[in-house]
Amino acid sequence: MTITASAIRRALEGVVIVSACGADGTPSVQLVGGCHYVDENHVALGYMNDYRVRLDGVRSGFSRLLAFDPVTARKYNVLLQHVRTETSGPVADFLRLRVAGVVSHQVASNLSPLGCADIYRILRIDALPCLATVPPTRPEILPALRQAASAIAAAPDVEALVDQTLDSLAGCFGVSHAMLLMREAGTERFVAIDSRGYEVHGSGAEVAAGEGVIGCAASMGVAVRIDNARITHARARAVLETDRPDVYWATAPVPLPGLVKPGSQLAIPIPGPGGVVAVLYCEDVSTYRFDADLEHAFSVLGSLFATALDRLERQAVGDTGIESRLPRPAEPPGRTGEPLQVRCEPRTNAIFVNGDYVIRGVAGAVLRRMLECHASTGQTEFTNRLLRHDISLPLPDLDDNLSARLIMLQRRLEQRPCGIRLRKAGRGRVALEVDRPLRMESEPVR
Amino acid sequence: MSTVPHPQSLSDLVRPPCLLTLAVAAENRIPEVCLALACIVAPDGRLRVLLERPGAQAVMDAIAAGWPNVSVGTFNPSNLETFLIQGNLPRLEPPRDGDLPVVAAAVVATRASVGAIGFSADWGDAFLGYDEDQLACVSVRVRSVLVQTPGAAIGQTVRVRELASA
Repeated sequence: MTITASAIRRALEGVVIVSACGADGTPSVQLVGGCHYVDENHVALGYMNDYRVRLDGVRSGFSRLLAFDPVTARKYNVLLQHVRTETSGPVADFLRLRVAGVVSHQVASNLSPLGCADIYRILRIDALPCLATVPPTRPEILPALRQAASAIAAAPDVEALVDQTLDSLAGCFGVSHAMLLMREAGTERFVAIDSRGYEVHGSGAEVAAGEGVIGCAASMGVAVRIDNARITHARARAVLETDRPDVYWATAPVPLPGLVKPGSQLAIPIPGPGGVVAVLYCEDVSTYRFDADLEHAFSVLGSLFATALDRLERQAVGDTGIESRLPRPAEPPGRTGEPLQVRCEPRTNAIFVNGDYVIRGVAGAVLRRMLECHASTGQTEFTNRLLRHDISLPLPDLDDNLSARLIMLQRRLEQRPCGIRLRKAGRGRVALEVDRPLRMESEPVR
Repeated sequence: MSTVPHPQSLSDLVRPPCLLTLAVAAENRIPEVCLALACIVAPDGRLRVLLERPGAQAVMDAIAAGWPNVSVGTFNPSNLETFLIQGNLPRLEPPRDGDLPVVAAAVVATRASVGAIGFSADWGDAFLGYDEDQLACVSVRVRSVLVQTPGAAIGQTVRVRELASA
């Protein structure tokens, strides 16, 4: 029976020993992190150094692989013929960014230790005898996907959509750590809306496109899966010769949640009008936790999320928030105590309360607008519709995902108590709660 | 090609918990390669590579056919160090008394160490499982050892004590 590349994809992407022959007839052999599955007939080998085995494979035209399934321990012998070497293009760029991503995810470096990608044609695959194998334990994907899709479709609003999406990853697929990030309008930054499984939720944390595994997926528009982050990370660090301690974004104003030593990582870009609008990120302490099938399943979930988000945002745009179309009477300004000092940086819309950073970007501009209204008129309820049409806010069009940003802002204020909170006040409305009088920078104290 | 300044013992380089592989250059410069269970440095300085016959049959066939150049790859899961031991004049030999306990000890140590790179004990058992009745041996004359660990020293020759005194 012919063994296909897709049938052993997990092994090809798992643990691979490469062998090739030098011009003097001496073989070389080296364990590498795994191949990149290109298509049913081709794989790519990406190297962080000019290994002898790489040069031998390219010059002789042939390489032999021993590929081991990282789940079942099945073994395969694969004969490859070198086709070409790519230093740029989708495969090389992807492999380079993936390695750079796993490095920068953990040591804050944007250096890429990967030189090129060698594309090989698969000539033959043979199964090797195994005394024993390990039965796979992953749950069936299609029933889990169906359950998750139903939950996403049933979400009545964006807040429920965010929750259902993250909860489905845990409930249907057993994902222990996940987060959802959305693109900041008009920028190359992605902001965490919410997360599951971490000690801190990290709402409001930011990742720049191209930075880390998440930013890499966002900038390339393709899923980035690190099956064995321990080997990849250790080798990349060795190549970069860096002794810098792991930083895990700890120096950012809002630290991005993350496992200290992830075994597996998967970042799924979610496409929308005009490019990647969001990224779904999952990680696990175990290695080889996510395979190609789960990557496909989560990509489907991402597409369902994007479709539902678009529908719910359009619904929110048309939502008049009837009860509050007219401004409600101002709440009595009876709050006492030391005023909360609110400062806004006009360039970034960063908001600081009593000197502590809270949020920036579109969410910062929205919060500033609400606080200004509250400080001047006592207004406490705001409709999404009025905010959306407020010309002072940088909300360009339907793609602004205002509802999602309000959810992120609401959760950021919950997670970082500062005397200011947002809560849902009915369909298409949010209520601002302020514990003490506000002192807006350059504004009179109320 | 520069030389790694510190001398190493060949025995240290192949000591458990290394994952070991044996490759032989064959027809059309296409190699055959297999997993090895353990390595022993013989009193005559040759490296005895212990294999399980079913998974190593292609390698053993190539050696039986007279292909003269072989290499042993080492990978230590606990520190990710990896070396390429280049050799020639391979010989198929029967296993000796005392080989099985060496293999058993090496497999136990290696199985424990694969946990450091994220594999379960069950996986290690299956990956390193072997049939005692299928033990085979290839002995090799070692010519040189190269560093393969990613980093600045990659490709450099290792000063091996046994080779210096040979």
